[in-house]
Amino acid sequence: MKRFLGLMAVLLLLTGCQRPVGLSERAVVKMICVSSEEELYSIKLIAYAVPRDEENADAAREILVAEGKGGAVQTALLDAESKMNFEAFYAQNELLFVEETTAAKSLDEILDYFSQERASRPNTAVYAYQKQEEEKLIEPETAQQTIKTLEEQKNDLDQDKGLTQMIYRFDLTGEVEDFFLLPRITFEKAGPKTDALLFFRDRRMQLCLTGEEMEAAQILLGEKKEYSYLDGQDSCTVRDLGIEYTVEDGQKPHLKLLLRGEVKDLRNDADPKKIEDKIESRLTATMQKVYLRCCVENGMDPFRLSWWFLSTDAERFAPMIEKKELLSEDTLQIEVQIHLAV
Amino acid sequence: MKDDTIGGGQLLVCVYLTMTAEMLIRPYRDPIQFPAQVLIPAAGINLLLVALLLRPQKRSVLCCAQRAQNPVGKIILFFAAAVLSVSGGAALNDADGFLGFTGEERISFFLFLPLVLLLVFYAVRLGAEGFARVGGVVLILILLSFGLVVLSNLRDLRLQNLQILPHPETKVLQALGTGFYFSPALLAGTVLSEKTQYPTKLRWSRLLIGVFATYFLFTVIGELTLGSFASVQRQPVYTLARIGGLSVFRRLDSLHSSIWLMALLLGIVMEAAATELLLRGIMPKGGKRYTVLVTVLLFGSTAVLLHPFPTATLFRWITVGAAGGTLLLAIIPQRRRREH
Repeated sequence: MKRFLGLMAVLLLLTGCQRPVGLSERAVVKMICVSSEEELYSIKLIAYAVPRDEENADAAREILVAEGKGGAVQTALLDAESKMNFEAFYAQNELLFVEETTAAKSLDEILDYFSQERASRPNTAVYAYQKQEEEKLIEPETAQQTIKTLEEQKNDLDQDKGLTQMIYRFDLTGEVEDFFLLPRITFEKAGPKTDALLFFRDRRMQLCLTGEEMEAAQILLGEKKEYSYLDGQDSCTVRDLGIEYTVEDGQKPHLKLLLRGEVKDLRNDADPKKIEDKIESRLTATMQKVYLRCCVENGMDPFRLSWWFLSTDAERFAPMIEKKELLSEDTLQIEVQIHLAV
Repeated sequence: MKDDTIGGGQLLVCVYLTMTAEMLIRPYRDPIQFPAQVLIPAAGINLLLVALLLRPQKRSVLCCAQRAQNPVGKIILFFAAAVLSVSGGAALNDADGFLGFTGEERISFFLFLPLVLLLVFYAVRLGAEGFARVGGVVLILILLSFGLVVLSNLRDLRLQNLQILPHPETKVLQALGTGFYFSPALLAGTVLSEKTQYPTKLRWSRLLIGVFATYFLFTVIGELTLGSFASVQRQPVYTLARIGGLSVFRRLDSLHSSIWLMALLLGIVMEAAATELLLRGIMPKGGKRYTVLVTVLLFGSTAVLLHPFPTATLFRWITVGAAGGTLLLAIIPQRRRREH
C-alpha cells in the first residue's frame, strides 16, 4: 500500500502542470498566410483569442493578425509569434495560404517546412492567393468567413468541394510528380471560391487553368462529382460523375476514359437527348483540351494517367513514361455517357 | 521477485505489442524509402528468416540457471543481457522522443527517465505475471486504435498512390531488414519462455503472422493514403493517425499515441524482466537479491549513454545482436550438452 501511494505521489509530477498556459493566454491560429518581399518571407498568423480587457466567459472571440518577417519560413513564423502577445496554439490550424508568386518561387521550401514542423498538421489544406487579395483575406470578416467555409469544405465528405490540396498529398521527393498543383482562392461577398488551378514547376508558374477547363480538370482529378451546364436558356447539373479507365494495348497503346453521370434537374420542356448530346460533346472537348494542355504541351500528368499503363505492363511502359514519350495527342480517348436520371 | 509463471499466449501478446510498438514508434530512424511493392516481399523473406532463427526453440528450451552452469553458457547469458540492456536504453530514448514529438511541451529526458525506470522497477519486482496480464488490456486498446486509424483514413485511399516499379525484385534485397526485422523482443520472449508451462509449444508462427499482417496492413494503407509522402516520413503510421478525419473526431492522434506508448513501455518492462532473469544466472549468489536494481541501473545507464546518439545504425546492431543472442541461447548450450 505504501509502495502504491508512493508511486501515485510520483505520478503527480506527470500532470503537465509545471507551466500551465490558460486559454485566455492562447491565440488559436486558424490560418497562416505566406508571402515574400525582397528575399524575405512575410508570414501572417490569423488567430482567435479572447480580448485581454474582458477576460471572462462571455467575452467575444477576437480575430488577431500578427505579421512577421524573416529570411526563412521558421524565422518569419517565430517573428510573427513574438508579435502576438499570446501563446500561439497551432493544433486547430487547417489552412495555409501561399501568395502565388511566392508559391512559384519557393513552394517546395514552404511545404518542406510545414511537413516537418510537428506543430503543423499534415492534413493542412494549402491554397494560393493573389497579392492584391491579401488585404481582403486578412480583414476580420472575410477571414472568419474563409475559415468557416474552407474548414467545412475540407472536412465535409458530402460537399462537392472541388480540389483541396493537403500537405501530405504533395510529392516532396519529386519522384512521381515534378510539379506542384494548387487551387487559387478568390474572396467574394458570397465567400471564398476557387477561381483557378495553378501548376508550378522549375520555380515558375507553368500553367493556369480557369473556368470550364478548371472544372474539367477537377473532374479528371476525381475531386468533383458534379458539373454545372449552362448554354443560353438550357441549364442543368450533372451529378454522380464517375470515371473508368481501360488500357488498350495495341501497336500504339492508348487509354480509354469513360465518364458517366446523371442529369437531375432538367427543365420539363427541354429535350433530354439534345441536352445529353450537348453536354457529352462539350465535356469531351474540354477534357481533351485540358489533357492536351497539361500532359502533352507541358509534360505533366496530374491525373496519373500513366499509372494505368504501369499497372498493365510496368516493364514496357516505365521507360516511355520516364522519357515522357507515352502521353501524346492520341493516347487518351475520351467517351462521355450522360443519362437523364430516372 | 515472485517465482511466477505466465501463459504462453500472454507472453506472445507482450512480444507482439513490443514488435508492433517498434514498428509504429520510430522517432530517430531513417524514413523507409521503398514502396509497398518492395517492402512486402522483403518482409515475407524477413519473416522466413526470423522463423528459421526461432526454430530451435521448438526442440528444447533450457532455463537460464541450467545455461549458467558452464562458462560458455554464462558468456552467452551476459551477451544476451547486454543486447537487451542496449535495446532497453534505445527504447527509453524512443519513448522520450515520441512523447516529445507528440506533445506540445517536452519534459526533460532526465525527469522522464527516472520516472519510467521507477515504473520498470516496480513492474519487474511485481513479476512477469503482472505485466503479462496488462498485455491483454493493451492488446485490446491497440487493436481499437488500429481499427480507428484504418477507418479514419478510408476516404483518403487512392489506388494511384501505389507505386509500381518495373523490376521490384532488384530492390527487395536492399529492403531486407527494413521495417520488419528480428526484434530484441523476440530475444526477450525466448528468455522469458522458461516462465511458461510448455516453452517448446509456444506458437511463434502465430505471433510472426500477426506481426506480418500488421506490417502488411499499415504498409499498404500508408502508401494508398500518403503515396510518395510516406517515403519522407519517419513514422508514417503516426502521420496516418494525424491525418485521419473521422467526422467529429478529428484530433485522435493523442489517443493513439498514448496507447502506443503504453505498448512501448510494456516492451521495455518485458525486456527488463528478461534481462533480470539472465542476470540471475550470471550474478554471484550474494548479488542475486539486487538483480532488479542492477537491471534498472543498466537500462538507465544505456539510455543515458545512447541519448546523444539515437542513430539508425544503432538499431541495426541491436537487431544483429538480438538475432545472434537468440541463436546462441538456442544452439550452443545444446551442442555442448551433446558433446558431454
